[in-house]
Amino acid sequence: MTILSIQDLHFTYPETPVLRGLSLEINPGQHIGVIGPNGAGKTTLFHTICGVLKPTSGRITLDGEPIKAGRFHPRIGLVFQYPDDQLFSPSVWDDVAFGPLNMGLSADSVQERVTAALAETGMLALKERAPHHLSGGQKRMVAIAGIRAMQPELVLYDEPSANLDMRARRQLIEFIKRSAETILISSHDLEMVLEVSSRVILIDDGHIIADGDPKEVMGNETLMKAHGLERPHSLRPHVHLPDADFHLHD
Amino acid sequence: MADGHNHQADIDAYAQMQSPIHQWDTRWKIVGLLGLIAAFAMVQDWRFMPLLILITCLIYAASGMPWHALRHRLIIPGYVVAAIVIFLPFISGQTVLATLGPIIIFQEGIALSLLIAVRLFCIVTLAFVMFGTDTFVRTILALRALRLPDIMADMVLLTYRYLYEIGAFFAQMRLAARLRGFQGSVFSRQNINILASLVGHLFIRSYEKSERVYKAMVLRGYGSGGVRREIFHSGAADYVKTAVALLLAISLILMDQLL
Amino acid sequence: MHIPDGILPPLAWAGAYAVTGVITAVSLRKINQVDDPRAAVPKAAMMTAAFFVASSIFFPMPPPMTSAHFILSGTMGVMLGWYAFPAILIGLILQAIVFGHGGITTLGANALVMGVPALMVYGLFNRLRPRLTSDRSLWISGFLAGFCGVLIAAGIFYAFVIGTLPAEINQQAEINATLILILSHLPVGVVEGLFTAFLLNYLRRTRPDLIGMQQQPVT
Repeated sequence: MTILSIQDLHFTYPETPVLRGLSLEINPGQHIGVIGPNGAGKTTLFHTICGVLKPTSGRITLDGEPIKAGRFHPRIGLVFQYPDDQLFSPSVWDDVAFGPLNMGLSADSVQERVTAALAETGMLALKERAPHHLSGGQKRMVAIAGIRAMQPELVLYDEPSANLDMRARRQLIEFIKRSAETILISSHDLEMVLEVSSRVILIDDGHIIADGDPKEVMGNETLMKAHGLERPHSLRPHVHLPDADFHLHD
Repeated sequence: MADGHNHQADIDAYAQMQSPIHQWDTRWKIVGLLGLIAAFAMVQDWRFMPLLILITCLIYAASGMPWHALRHRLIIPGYVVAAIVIFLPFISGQTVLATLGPIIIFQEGIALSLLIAVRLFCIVTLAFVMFGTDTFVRTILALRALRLPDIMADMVLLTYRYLYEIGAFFAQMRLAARLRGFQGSVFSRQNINILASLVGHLFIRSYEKSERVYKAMVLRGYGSGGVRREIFHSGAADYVKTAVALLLAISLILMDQLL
Repeated sequence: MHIPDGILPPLAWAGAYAVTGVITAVSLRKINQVDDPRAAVPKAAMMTAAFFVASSIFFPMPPPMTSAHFILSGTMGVMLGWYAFPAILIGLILQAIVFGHGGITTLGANALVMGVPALMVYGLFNRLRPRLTSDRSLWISGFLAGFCGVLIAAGIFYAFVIGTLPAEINQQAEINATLILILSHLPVGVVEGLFTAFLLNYLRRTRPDLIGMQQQPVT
């Protein structure tokens, strides 16, 4: 059973091909890491999936229904690389309510969803705060809450752990692990991808190069190096340590 | 702003206090106080000055805001008005009040100077009451409720939202330039060129940001219709306060015309 | 160069509000003809914020002056076109409410002081644009855009302030005073003209679409 189906996706702008015939099938509930060097087409892929960009050719369907560029698709959410661009409302509450209000939901329904989304992301106490008074990590979680409040089936995360301190990053990782939605995460933070994904797709030069188990794809040194990446530390044999039974003293 | 400091807290500094003015529904407060401001800006007879000052001070006292806060609001407009008004006693009028050698002082000129100064004081003070007793965002939302076009209200709120970030970005650019030896206070053709590049870069980055924000807005349904949150609720007390303010305003205008 | 409250007679400030209202409505309609109205909001907002920041910069001036703010009306006309007028109005609203600068009753008048030169420069630049092929021609038109923006704004400002004073003052004296005061803005006009010339050249090399031009072929 597929939730998202991408068939032979091409995107060219303005003369340069960015996506060159990408095809992908995604099942519900999967958490998929999307890795690749800069310029590979990851962000463009995400933007075409949400309908922000119109593909030059190819087909994208969500639950069998085609995605039309320029239309509002509340069933797909995109968490931007820079949350600052995404939090454009005067207060945290208003920003999280933006999506649900545009979905035409009743005031009570909006209230419920916003409260729930803020509670899940731990941001409820900040609901009247202005966005520019938030820290980077807080902005990130509020942006996520804003997407969550629309209750999408599919959520795309673009570089979610960039610029986060260790604590905020850990919070984010645990949050993603707990999430029940189908998730696609584009990231250079390969350790995070390893922790949260059940499947990894390597994209380079507009093509899908590899698609499979995270340890296999990301543990393949030749493959990773060939596409401007490296194996994450925890997949390098000499660094991997057993957790328990480690005694320093006799 | 170009120093990257966040000045936005200033107007909101006293917005959370309690007073009869704070409790006045924002929309009705704006109607009432704007009416008074308009009346003040129409008064031509300088004999009404004490009345204007009295009304203004009573309203300010009712708002509970500290008097020292008013000083900041009066300084800059005060200087500008003083610079313009200082000449009036010497050039405007027919009735000679006094002469200092070749310099003539006209009675009408002095009256006009005082009138302008009083009008400025009263209008600035009332405006501060109007805007200082609510957060900036609530004020704009109230204006929207009072039929300010949606597109203008949305633009004002978005500008306010990003003003600090854009200011901080420019401050960072300027710091980076300074750390590489740029002396922005020295005038030279070269320096004006460099400043033009910095500002040009600021414009480009801001434009690119607008494209990203636009995508973010469209992605969450901007322009797809939908209802807005109802945040204003009015009651009898609000109508009474506004009625009193407007009656006062109309009386002032009539008295000024008739006397 | 903002007119504070209290100075203008009712006919002046009310009349200015009416004219500003009309020009704003016309500007918004013109914008909707060209752009998706949804896209107009974030674009206008970001650029208004950027210009707000730019207008708070102290630019160095030749002695005896030390520094000055630029009006940027000419630049706004060239870069924003019809967006310039709403942008200026939004900037004034923000300044009046948040900072208490400018004036409440004089919002309309101040919008005219800065907005009319912006639209005039836009109209002129629009017509000249196809002929601005060389660096030199762009430089000259940039200089004129900045320079004229300052002087026209000064003209409107003083027309309001001096022209609306009670009629007991000698008409000729009023005109003389106005001219002298406008001329006092010449230094700022020249330096802002210089700035604008450099700015337009910078933009042509980097993002020519922001001044309505095509990408130059790399030679």
